[in-house]
Amino acid sequence: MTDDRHIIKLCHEGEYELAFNSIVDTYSERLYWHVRRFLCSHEDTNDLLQDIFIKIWSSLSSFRGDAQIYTWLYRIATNETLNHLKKIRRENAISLDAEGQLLASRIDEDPYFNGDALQRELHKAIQQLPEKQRLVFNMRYFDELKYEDIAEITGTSVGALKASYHHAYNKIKEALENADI
Amino acid sequence: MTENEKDILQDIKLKKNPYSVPEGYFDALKTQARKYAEPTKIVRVNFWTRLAPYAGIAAMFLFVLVLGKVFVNNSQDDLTAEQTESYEDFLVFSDISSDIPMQYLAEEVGSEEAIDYEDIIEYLIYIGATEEYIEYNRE
Repeated sequence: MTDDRHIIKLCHEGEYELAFNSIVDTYSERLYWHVRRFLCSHEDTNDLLQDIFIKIWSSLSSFRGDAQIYTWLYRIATNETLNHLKKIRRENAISLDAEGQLLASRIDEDPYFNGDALQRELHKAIQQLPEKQRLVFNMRYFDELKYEDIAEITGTSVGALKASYHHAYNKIKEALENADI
Repeated sequence: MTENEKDILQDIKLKKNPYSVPEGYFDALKTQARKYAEPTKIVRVNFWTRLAPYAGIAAMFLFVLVLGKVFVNNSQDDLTAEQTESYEDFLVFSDISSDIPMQYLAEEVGSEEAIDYEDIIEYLIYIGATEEYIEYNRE
C-alpha cells in the first residue's frame, strides 16, 4: 500500500506530524466504522475516536514499521474500544450479557441507523456475541481482514480466531433465521 | 446446507453499512484530529522583552522619586524665599521707627555707594543733631 509505505517512511525520517496527518487522511473513516460497529452510538464513537487519535499521536514515535500501519492502528483502536466497554460495564455495574443488551438498545435509539429490519437484527445479534467473537466477526465479515492480520491486531492465534468466527457466524445466522421479521 | 437452503449471511445487503454520520462529519473529524499533532507553539522571549516590565516599574519608580525630589526642592526654595523676605522685612521694620521717610529705607541702604557723606549730614540734621555735634563728628 503506497500510503502505508509513505507513512512508515515519514516516521523513519522523524516527520511525525506529516505521518500523523497522512494517517488521519487515510484511516479516519475506517477507524470510525470499526469503533462504531462496537459502540453503535455516533456520539460515543466520536468521543472515543478523539482518545484514539491522541493515543496514535503519542505512540507514533515508537512505531518502528515492523507491523503494517493499519494493523497497528486497528490494534490501538480495538484496545481503546475494549477498555471503553469495560469502563461502561464498571460504571453501570453490568455483566457482559447486559452490556450486549445495552448496546443493542442503542441501535433502536440511534437516529443515524439507516438499515432495514434485517440489518437491524444483524447488528443487534452481533452485540449479543461474546467480546472476542464480536471482534473477529466484525473484522472478518465487514472489513474482510485476513485472519493473519486479525491475529496481529488481537494477539490471538489464527486457529483460535477461525474457531471464534465459526461460532459467531453460526450464532448470528441462527438469530437472523429465528428473527420475527 | 442443501442447495435450497440459502445462507442468510451471504446476502450482500447485510454487509452494507447501515450506520450514517452527520453531514460533513469526516471533514470535521480530520480537522479536529490534525490539531493533536500541531506542535506546541513556544514563544521565545528575548532578554529585553523579558526585562521590559521590570524596566517599566523601575522607570516609574524613578519618575516618582524625581517628581518627589523636585516637589521637595521647590517647597524648600519657596520657604527660604519667604523666610528671607520675612527676615529682611523684620530687619527693616523692627529697628526703624515708622516716621522715618522711606527714602532711608531703600534696599540699597546698606551699600557703600548708596550712602555718601552728604546723606549722613542730611540725616543728622533731620534727626535734630546740633551743629557742634555735626562738626565734631565731621572730623
